[in-house]
Amino acid sequence: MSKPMDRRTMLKGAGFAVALPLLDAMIPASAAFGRNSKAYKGPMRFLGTGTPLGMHPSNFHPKMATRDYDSPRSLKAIEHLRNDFTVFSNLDHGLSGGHYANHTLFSGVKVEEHKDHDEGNVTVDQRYAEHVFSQTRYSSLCLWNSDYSWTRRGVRVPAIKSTPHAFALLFEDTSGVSSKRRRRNKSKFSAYPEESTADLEARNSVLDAIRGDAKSLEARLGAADRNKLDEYFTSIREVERKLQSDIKWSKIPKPKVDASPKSASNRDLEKAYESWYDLAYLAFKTDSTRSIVLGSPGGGNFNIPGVTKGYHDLSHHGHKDENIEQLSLIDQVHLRSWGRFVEKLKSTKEADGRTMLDSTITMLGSGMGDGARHNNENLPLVMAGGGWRHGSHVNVFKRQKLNSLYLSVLQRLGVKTRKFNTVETSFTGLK
Amino acid sequence: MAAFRPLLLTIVALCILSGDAWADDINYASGYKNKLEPFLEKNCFRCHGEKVQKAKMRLDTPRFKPTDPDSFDFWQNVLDRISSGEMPPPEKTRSGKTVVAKPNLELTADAKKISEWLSEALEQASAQASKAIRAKGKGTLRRLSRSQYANTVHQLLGSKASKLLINTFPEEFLDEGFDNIGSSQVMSDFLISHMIKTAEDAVEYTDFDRKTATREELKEFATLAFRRPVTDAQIAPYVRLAEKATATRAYAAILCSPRFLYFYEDPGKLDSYAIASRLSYYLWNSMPDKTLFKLAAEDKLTDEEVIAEQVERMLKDKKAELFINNFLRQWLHLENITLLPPDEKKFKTFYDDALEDAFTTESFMVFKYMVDENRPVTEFLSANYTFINNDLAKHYGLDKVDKYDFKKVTLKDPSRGGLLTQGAVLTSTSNGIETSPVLRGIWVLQNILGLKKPDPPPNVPALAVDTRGTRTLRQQLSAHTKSSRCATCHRHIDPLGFALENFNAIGAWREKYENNARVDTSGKLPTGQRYRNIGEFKKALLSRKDSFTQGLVSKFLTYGTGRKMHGTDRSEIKKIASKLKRSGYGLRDLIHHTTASKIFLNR
Repeated sequence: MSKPMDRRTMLKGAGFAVALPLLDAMIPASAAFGRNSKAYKGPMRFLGTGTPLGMHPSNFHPKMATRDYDSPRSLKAIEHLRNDFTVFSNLDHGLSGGHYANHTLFSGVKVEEHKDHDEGNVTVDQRYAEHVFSQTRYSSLCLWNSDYSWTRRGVRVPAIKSTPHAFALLFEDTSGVSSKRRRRNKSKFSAYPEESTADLEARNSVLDAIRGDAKSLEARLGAADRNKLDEYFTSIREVERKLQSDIKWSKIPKPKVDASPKSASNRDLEKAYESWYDLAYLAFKTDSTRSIVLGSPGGGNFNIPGVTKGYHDLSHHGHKDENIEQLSLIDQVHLRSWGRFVEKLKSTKEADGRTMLDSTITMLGSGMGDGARHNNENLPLVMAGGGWRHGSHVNVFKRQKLNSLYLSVLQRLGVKTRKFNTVETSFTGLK
Repeated sequence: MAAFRPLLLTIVALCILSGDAWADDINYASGYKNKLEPFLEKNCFRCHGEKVQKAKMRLDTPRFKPTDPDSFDFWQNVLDRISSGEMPPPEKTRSGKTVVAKPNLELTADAKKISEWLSEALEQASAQASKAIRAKGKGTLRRLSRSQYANTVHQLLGSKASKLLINTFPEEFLDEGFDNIGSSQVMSDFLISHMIKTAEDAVEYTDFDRKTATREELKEFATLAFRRPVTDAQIAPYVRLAEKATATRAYAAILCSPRFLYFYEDPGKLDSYAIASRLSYYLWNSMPDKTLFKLAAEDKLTDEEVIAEQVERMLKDKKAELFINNFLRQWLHLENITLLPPDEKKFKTFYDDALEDAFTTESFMVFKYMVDENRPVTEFLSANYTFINNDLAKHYGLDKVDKYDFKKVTLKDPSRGGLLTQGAVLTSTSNGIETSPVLRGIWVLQNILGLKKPDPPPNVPALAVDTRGTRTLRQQLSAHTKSSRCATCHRHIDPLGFALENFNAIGAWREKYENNARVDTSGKLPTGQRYRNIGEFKKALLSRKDSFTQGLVSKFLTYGTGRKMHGTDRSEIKKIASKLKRSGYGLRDLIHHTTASKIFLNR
């Protein structure tokens, strides 16, 4: 049996040749994975949606932990899909911090503590993106609002904020566009510019030059400073690795879809959700990416019939019935929109006759539990797809951590790992 | 019996001798055994010992070795708690349902004695350890923050280029509000790849002609960008790149070099070039200008008088506004307003009257006025003036001023004036919906009283405010001070916040809550001083102005050096603070004292 490699040893000896996130090599060769591995060979996908203010607990969590639970007020919005999803109770990360811990939804680690963990505060979508890497044009997409997707180095992944921009990145043929025009577009599209093959190839020599300079600086530094500069070298290596993937994909034409981008203002929450989920569906369908995080807007006022107050204001409901009722109307929009996406996946057949829902794991949740209490316990969470048998309300009574569920998700997605951030045990209770 | 007498005398003499020796030099081991341990055992181990560890703090196991930086910080924290009167808590007696604290004069006297001894011991350790740390160098290699990067590129390439940059960068990680702390800054592939792409764009958009890149041109550019002379060997990779690729790429690569991105400083006394950079990023949030470069080349910036002259010149420059803006944003955590914005419907005036801008302008103008006129820093605690426009006048309930312009007005009522009553602070310490006495209390604790924020114990059920009945938030929060788990910290935190309850979540005055319950602002400081309203609260805080001043000096130095202040910096900070006291507390003097300090001029 080969000895599992210690990550630190590897880092020390790796030099420039080995890129950091290839951690799968560290798994003992004898370890058995994919207990439920089936014949399916196509791509597995992940989509997680994060909402900012929890959900009113008594309107979300069913009372009975059985298959024939009664759906509370908010959950009724997806009652017709009850056999396609699992709803969880008393599942969380054991963290506190209210709004300031909401970003831990998909990682279980606060960004300020990322240096205490081997994998930092990497979120489940980014952990999967490391695995997918260059197999798709985009290793992951962070859409709408950023806060729910983090890399292992404590970096918040910037979000693509508009559906037309995301649509252009995924499906628009820009091969004939001059680099000057692309640059001009960039100010509009901010964090995700598109570049020509020539521009990308030229970047190799830029990286060479700054690395040459950095090496001569390194020789002069003390030990502590050299550690800090190591972060710079590591980052350069990662840029280089991504660059090769970008070059490869810049030569492959983008897929053509028979659709145009829809867009809606955040005020029309349900329509905005629809435009994003439609886009995510197309991205999956064309295998442009296999990992998506969708961040719901952080607050504001929505045009929802029956809702007269601001979302954040309503979450501070003060136990007033009319506020709780309005809050539930918003919670229902989150759930109903996600439910439509689940239905769409379910009604799409893969080449081997399965549905797209079987090869996709999708979750909807919030990093806060009860918005009124500002707590981060008993997080509202529903999950569908992945080939699991759904239809239950799983109450873990705090005996398992949410990261255990993510570990199982990652394993189901094909990532060979036995650890995810804070846990080394996978989830029990899913079949 | 007589035979023993000489021996006894000798013992007494020995004791006196060794006593004298102690007066010069405290022995940590025996001092701990004879003084500190008995005190801790009697007063502290019950709650911070083997069985119980309140606030996750255990006092019976750590060694007393304050020359070790971690041990120093630990005991400094202990000292702060004891000397502020916060610890040990007074014993409580229960009469019926109410719990009454029993004053204990003996304990107070003991605590005073032990904090005096501990303070001396730590001062001694600080002096000893500073030498050791100075030899090693302090702080971690830091890089240009997002705003520093943009300002620097602006200066190197002109305004068109810098506009492109800033929004595409990943957000900075804030440590105690600051984005320039080397040990907390993150470097990532995201950042680097954005830097490369934006640098290429920036060079193309430059106002200057950068079509060619000869060795000399590149060297000249790199000298400015790296903020110190460049050797031929250092420039060689970029010359090669210019030959192989394009001039644009060579200039862009220079803007991605670690020599550009990081502040490279040798440990120990800083050289003139490093001082030029520290000064300019401190007071301008940008790179040194020609004058600073010239003085650095002549190696004149190690001279105290030259530094003082330069600080005067820099503060008079318009670029000093970049410092004020950036420092205020970070010191007062103003980004919280963007993070949890006031509700659009509940606080319509906040948007109709553009109050966020007005608040920021008010805080900016007060700060700038205090720097320009060298006003005493105690005016941060209590001032009889502020700067307002008409919208703010309306919002604060003050007399009208000119329509749009901000004007300095004299305040007759002590309920406004000073940082604590500025809209910016009151809004950034609320959550956009309600006030939070706990958040505001922590803000006062950290920024005004200069104490550390304790971590809440794990698995505490949070409070859900109930606004149906007539109970006030204060009555509901009383759960904090009833449960002994919470009370340790909250009995000090919450009252500080209650003192500000007359101000709603966007800083408007109120006497009643929405449910008509009266606001109660009375309370007492950890030191026991009582207050009934905001006016008396400010007065009580003024009596603690020494700890406020020290905290303030520490914030300025943190910002100016890009590293967190360490326990071993404490004695130097105290020195600066008492120097400031002697010179009349002026804010401009404070800046001068920091730039003249060992902390600023050494690494």
